[in-house]
Amino acid sequence: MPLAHGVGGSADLPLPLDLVLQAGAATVVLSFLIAAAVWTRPRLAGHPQRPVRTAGKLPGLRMLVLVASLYLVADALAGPRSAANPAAHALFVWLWVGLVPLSALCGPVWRAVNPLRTVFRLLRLPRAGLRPGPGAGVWPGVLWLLAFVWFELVAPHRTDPVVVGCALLGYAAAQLAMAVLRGEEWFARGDCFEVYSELAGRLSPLRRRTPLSGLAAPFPAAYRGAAGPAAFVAVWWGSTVFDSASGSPAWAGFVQRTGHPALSATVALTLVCAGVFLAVRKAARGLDVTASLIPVAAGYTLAHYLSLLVVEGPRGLLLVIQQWGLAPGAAWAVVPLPPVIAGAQVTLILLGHVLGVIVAHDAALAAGARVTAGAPGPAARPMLATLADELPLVLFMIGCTWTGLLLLFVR
Amino acid sequence: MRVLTGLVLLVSSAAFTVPALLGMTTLLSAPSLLSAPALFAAFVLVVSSASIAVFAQLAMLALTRRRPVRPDPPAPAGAPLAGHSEPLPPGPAALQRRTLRTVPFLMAALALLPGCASAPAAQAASPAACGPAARDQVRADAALREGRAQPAPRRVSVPLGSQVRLGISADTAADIHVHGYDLRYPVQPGQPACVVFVASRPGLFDVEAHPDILLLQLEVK
Repeated sequence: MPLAHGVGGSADLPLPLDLVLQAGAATVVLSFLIAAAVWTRPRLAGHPQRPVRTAGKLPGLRMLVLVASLYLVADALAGPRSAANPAAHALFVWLWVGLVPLSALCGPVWRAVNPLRTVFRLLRLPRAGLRPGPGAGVWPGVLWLLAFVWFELVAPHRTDPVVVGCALLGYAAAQLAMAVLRGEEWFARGDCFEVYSELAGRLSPLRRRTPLSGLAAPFPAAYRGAAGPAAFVAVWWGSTVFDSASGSPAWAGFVQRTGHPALSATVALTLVCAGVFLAVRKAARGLDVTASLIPVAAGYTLAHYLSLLVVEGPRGLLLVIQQWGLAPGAAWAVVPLPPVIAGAQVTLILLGHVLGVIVAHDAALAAGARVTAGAPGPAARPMLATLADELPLVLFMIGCTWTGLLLLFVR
Repeated sequence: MRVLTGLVLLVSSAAFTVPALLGMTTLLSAPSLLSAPALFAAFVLVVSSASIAVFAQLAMLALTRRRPVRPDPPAPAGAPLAGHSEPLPPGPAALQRRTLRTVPFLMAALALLPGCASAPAAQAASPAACGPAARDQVRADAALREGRAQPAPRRVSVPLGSQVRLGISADTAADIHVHGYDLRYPVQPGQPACVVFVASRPGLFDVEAHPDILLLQLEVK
């Protein structure tokens, strides 16, 4: 039996048109209301950040995750080479998709439980590294993320458990080698899942007293500049956009006409990510869009993968249990109701959009306040100047939201 | 930078033609103009065409306005909205710019015109593989020719609970897989395969020739 579709694709109906139109109108109205009327002074910046705990009360959890990872990798390599193997579920659903809601809720969880860090500590490798240095900041993480999304969306035989297992082993070996070279803090900028979790974790309402203040916090110094995180978010969002678009019949027809599916998909994926990166960097002069794109990307990712998470996440767990001979007849055959899924998708996209606009607006206000900090009097820059400054940014975000909605409509 | 902003604005305004056109078609096909969908479509049409106009105008401003010669105020001038803060130079240039401002509105009107005269797309001729469909059946045919679907992959709308009569012909031996319903069956060259099943699950399901040549998508709702 051919082994394709180890993870069933989502079978969501495209968003209904009326919902898309309503949501599109709502984005425009909400953006301008928030930007102009409701939010008139900066409120987010300057709140203290709690550092992430990497030790402390977590060793049990770390060990648990390490054992689970080792078991899943071993199972991928030695277990049944069929759709009954949970390897693809573990990598593509639990880790890749599940990390977003978990981080958005609890903060950068992967940093706390990263099994590679645990291995690094258990092996007593040199914590400071053999040749410590800042290196290229977060750019290695960006490239690893690009490699991962290529593996997830384009690579042939990507759901074959042996391929998944080998890819994971290779990733772990490369990461550990780099960590030996650069020290343990390599993981914070070189392990794409940790960066992913860190960026999505900025949304977490549990970690900070002021909601959203995490998004206004500066990026870690190890990232070295704003271009790296921007590229990371661009790859994150761009890959999800590509995944949506490549599910359409039009894309399938194009690929069949050109005849090189892997090549065209690779080129398209790279182009989409590069395009998003350019837009992120150039859309707003001076203003940093990255932080405000994080909620947009998280909302879109959740909207796009919602049914996959609901349907295939528990199914993977069931596969693990059934491998042990338990619950042989059980099946997870939940079919989400299309209207509920559509409503949730639109809600998530709109929520991401609103949060993004708030963060962007707040950043613009704070920048304006900084510019006039030396000037006497309480009056900061005129509101209109700030609005004019952030207009390209807000338009860019409206464009992102429209893109997301339309993609879920044509999908 | 200014050019890029202008281009982004232009693209945004172009993107707004989609809801405008959709609103227009909805409006045109509505049975009564006083029903809720028609009123909503009208609202969408108005909002999106206004947005087209505003965005395109801002784009024009961003693309045509020159940087002031003496940038003495340190405040960040040059945002596309700030056209009122600096007096336009008098003379023919100002006149030209003023006429330029009407261009976006004309463009928006032009963009809306095709919506009035949109004809239904021509139906692609589908290869007969499956015989005539019964009354309540939805018929979907596709052919696999030289590794590609013929006609090009498309979406077939199927009412929930109706019977689907799916006919596939191929020029090589292939495995056909209907996702979601998990139907798998082989097709031989010269022997079209025909499957009839009840579309009992809502969703969007691929019909593929394995490994991954998409033939068509069934949209069951």
